[in-house]
Amino acid sequence: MTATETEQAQLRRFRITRRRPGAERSRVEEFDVAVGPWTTLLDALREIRSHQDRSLTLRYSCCHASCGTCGMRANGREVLACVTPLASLGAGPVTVEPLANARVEHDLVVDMRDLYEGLEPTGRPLIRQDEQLAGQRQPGPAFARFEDCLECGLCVSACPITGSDPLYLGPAALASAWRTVAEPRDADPSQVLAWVDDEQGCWRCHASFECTEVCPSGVDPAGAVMALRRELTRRKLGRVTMRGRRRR
Amino acid sequence: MVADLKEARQPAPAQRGRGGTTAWILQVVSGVLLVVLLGAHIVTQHFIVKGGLRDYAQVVSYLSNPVVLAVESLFVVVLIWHAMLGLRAVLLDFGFGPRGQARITYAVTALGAVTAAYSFWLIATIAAKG
Amino acid sequence: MSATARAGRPARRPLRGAVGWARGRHLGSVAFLTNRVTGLLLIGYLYLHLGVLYLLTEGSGSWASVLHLFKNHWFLGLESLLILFILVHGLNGLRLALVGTGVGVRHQRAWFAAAAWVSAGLYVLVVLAMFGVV
Repeated sequence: MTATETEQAQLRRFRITRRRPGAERSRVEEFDVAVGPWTTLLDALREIRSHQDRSLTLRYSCCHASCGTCGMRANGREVLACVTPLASLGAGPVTVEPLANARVEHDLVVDMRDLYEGLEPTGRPLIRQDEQLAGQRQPGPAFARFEDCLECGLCVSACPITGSDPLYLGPAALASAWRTVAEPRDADPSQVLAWVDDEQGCWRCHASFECTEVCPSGVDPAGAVMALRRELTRRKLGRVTMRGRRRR
Repeated sequence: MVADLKEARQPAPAQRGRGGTTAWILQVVSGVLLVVLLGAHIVTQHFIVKGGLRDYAQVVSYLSNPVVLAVESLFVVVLIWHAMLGLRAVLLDFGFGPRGQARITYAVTALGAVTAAYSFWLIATIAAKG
Repeated sequence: MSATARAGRPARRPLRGAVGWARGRHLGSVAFLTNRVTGLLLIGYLYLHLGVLYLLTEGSGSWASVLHLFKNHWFLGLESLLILFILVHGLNGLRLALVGTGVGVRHQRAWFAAAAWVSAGLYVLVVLAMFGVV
């Protein structure tokens, strides 16, 4: 910290939920860290790890909200620690917990495999450079945001249904499914639509919009789920009224 | 590594969903109908007759009108349908597999049928007293 | 089903039990919670109501005795609360009918505010009408 920041440094208390690998229960441990006006949550956690408790386990990588690795809950809210200034977390002690709706592996590190595997069925939106050169359509601004998904898991943690229903596809997978439907890029969207048309698919969502509220990347998963529902409703009504012969 | 990137990026969901669009459409339609039917029911039961609520004779007389009978019957069916679909939605949030879902659907359908049967019996019995 | 569940392995995540869904803090979660609670209470009321109506099959005497109870001011107050639940559930339900089918999703917060205000306004009218002021 600079000289000015040292003058302004205060002690901030952190109550961190910790769990050893394979342990049945978690415990809460308190740490006090000298913080300045610009200190982020990640800065403070690294400070604890560097100077107070080497065993504190967490994930981080890019430190600028690009990799999606440092997701956790601060004062009950899903955040990316690297871009969460402590100044935004009120004045009192900060409660730090791992993401919800994912198995805790160690302290603040959770098992992300459900999330990653859930995204696989929607295909990988990769474009080869030679295809770009061959004049293939580039993603327009309306669709680029779906590819902004960092796979950080904040939406899955915030979703109320993911917590009670082990079979729910979840906001991340559904947002990715919508991307495939909205911009197929020579893939077949009907398979993905058929996949999400399930009581544990897009119809399980109850429009709490928590996923969209916490997404650090502007993906709007709730909007994606509703768009999938609109598309499925339109197709079903089209079949029923026999008016839906136009190809979308 | 995959040989053909084009193949790797195709969506390949493991299986088809079992649907849910119809249940949603029914929930929406029944809900919208209820805004009218339930609204009408509350107004006619609470705010039409002097004193608000109807006494026995007034109830019997009210049900003697065939239009009233038809509307109240429709109201009962739509209400029970919406309630059962809602109950089913709450239960499905707890992640039952295909067999569990089928059982829940069957159970709410049965409950709905019994409730409707009782309701129609009520209406018929009271109307007959007129 | 989740991809892992469909692959034959159960999802690995821990569940938060029967009230885990009530965690959310934003407007959408408030709407969800309100609709769920009012919906379940209204189902309870439905069966209570159907039970009470049985008295009508027993003749005017039975009905008259409960009617006296229902016209009591405290009871009317409770009934007005019931109507408030119906208003909230119905108006937020209209919001869900739209938003949940992908219509007007961007305005979902505004829809909820509108539903809340209209419910409040209609509730005031109902109370006034019930207590004979209107």
